[in-house]
Amino acid sequence: MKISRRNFIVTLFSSVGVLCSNYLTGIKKAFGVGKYSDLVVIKTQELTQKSIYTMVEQGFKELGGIERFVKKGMKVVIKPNMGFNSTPERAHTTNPILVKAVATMCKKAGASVAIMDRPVHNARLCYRSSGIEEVAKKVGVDCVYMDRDKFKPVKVPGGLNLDTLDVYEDILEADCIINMPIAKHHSAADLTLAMKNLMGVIGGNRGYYHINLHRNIVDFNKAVKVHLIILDGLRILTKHGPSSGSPADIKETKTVIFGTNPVAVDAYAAKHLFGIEPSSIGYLNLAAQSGLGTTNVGAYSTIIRTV
Amino acid sequence: MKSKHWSIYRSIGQLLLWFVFVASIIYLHDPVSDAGIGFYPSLSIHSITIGYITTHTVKYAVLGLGLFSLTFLLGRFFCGWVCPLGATIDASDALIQPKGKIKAKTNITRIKFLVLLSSVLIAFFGFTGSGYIDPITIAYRAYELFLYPFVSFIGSKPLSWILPGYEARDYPFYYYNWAWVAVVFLVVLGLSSFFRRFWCRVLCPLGAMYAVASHVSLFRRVVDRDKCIHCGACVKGCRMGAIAPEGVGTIEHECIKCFDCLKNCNYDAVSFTFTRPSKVKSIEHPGKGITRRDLLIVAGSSAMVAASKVSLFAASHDSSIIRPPGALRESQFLDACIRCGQCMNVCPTNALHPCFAEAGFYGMFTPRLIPRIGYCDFTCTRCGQVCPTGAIQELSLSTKQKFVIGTAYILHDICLPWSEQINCIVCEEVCPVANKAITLEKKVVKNTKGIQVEVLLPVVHEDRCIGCGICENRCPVSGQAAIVVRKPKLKLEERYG
Repeated sequence: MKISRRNFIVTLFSSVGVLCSNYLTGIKKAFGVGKYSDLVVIKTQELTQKSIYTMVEQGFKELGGIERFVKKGMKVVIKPNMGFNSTPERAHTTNPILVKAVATMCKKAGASVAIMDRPVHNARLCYRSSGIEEVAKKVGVDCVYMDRDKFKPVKVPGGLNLDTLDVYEDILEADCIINMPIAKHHSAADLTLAMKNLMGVIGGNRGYYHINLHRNIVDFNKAVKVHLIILDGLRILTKHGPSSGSPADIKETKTVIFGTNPVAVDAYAAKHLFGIEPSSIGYLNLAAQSGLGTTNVGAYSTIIRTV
Repeated sequence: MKSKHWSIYRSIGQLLLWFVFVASIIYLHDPVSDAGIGFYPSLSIHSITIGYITTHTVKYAVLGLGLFSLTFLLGRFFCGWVCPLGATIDASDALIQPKGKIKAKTNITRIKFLVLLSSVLIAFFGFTGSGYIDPITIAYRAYELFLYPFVSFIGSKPLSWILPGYEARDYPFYYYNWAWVAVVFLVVLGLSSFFRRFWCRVLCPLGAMYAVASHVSLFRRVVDRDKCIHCGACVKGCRMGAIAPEGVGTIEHECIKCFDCLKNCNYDAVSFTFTRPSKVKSIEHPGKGITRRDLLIVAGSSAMVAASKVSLFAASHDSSIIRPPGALRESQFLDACIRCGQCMNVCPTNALHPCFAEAGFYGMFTPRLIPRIGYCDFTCTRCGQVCPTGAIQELSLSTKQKFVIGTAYILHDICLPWSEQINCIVCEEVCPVANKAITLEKKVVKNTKGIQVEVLLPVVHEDRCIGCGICENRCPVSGQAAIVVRKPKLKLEERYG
């Protein structure tokens, strides 16, 4: 091919354009001109079923409508935290009304919804006492027990500690994964938020993941890409987490955080719900280093609404 | 009643009641089922005789006493229709193919009355050992602890198609010492190789109780002397040996109303009707053949067993034997427990297992908590709900959450943070106690390579620990856990606090 002046200039500018596009998105983010904002934070005055429903509706609206994530005929997996055999009052598990609201909206959008978790305690007890099995039945969506033969090995791209991980088949096959963690204190990970919640779709020995926990949490998030995170910050456990604590340790923060980037959601929750500097949390630091996001909460475009 | 179909109706009835028995085990094993409805142990000797005294409730005696009082009307139908062990023995005949007969002169069927008498005598010394030899508890233990784990292991997939949520039960599960449970069960079945229903005819104390009552029952086998040609078909076919050699007379207390003689008679000579006992007399008394020598042997051996309770059968003080929450004080617990194994079946975490000799011979088949296999769930009180004798008291959830069954101890030489300076906080994370019985101490130490590292060292607070054992269960150190639960140091009076 003969290089003409015209060809040369076109190639030069287009390659410069491609190279700069990374910066452009960065600039877009910095000025908040992106189509969608990174974080949507919905606050409320009172904790009633009605207000929680409005929070979820408002949240989806600010995110750009539920159609952005859930379309007709999609397989949606909702992954709440129901890891412990305790009742919703103790704030160990995701608020069942919040799960109900999200499941209802997904079902209305025409998706087939399944709710699942791999609990620490006996699954049958956890599903029942968390109240989520009951709301799933009311809404008419499946609350599925995980089958221990259905975990499939997945390569972790650029894993910090692990090369492969066993991930649940339904999660791999899902069109949309909605991660619905509850924000609470955690003795090993400091806080358990969206990133830590993914341990519930991973197979294998939970105990061993707690050695080098922070690195493993980052690896979970590299192996499993979540489409939407709805963080339950309605009532949070600030001490003696994740599986005990008294009523005095529970703080009513009345917040729900929506986002697509787990690092963004976790950093925001750590800073504004618990008042902990995100960079002091091991797995958030490691995630920022591996390019999953940044611990600087100010860098994310945020919409805050009160309903 | 003359129809030959009654033999088949009986088989169907027995099968249905056996199915109820098996279904109750599978139902109760479901962690979200209602544990308050465990009813089969109410058929045991203990529940019929003294159960309502020790439990202060008639709840568990109603069914057993009801069936027992029906015996005065219908005779010893229990053994042929209701008893799950009897059903199993009948079914196992196809495998064992019993051939022999009792020799005419040896009256060994009297032994069951002596066994019953002996267990009553021993009970006066506070030794309620009836659980070892009660057919209900033998069957219960065998089905729950030996057969069901196998069935669940092989058939968990098909069972999950029938029973929603079956896959979420903790399977595969197994019970420690299951082999000893199996040995007792298989020996009982194997006895049939001498002759059919050996156990029921010779040894069963519950059968003996029903036998005594059925001596005066009204529903009896009647033979038409004009039609009977003494062919002996009924005598040969009788699984209980309840028919006199000439075919007319009946040993009423051995007849379990299986109606095989109706089926086997080709001359329509046999019928079953309600009649006065004086009219159709039983050819034998229940106590026939019991000599003064027998009674002396029973008295002597009972006294010996009762005396040995203080030595061989004494309550063990092994600190690794942890009893379920709500269990009575050890010696009282051993007296009250009938070893039905229901608490082990209903335990959602597979934490309770039968003892063999670890708790002394007297503690055989009593429940113990083995944390490494399963932990005591913080929000569960099922074992207390299901216990038919009150050996495990029913606790409210708030009492249970404070009830101390043991205390955790860290083995510092294999604990990861203590011995290898590796951070691992699993025991602290899983501890369910509100203000954490295990806390972490931050310390800067030198590791094996001589580098200064910061580790979190777990420390147990004995005053807060309730001994649920989840820390031992979840300890990631393989094999022996680095944290173990032992018997509590607190006195029992303090436990109820």
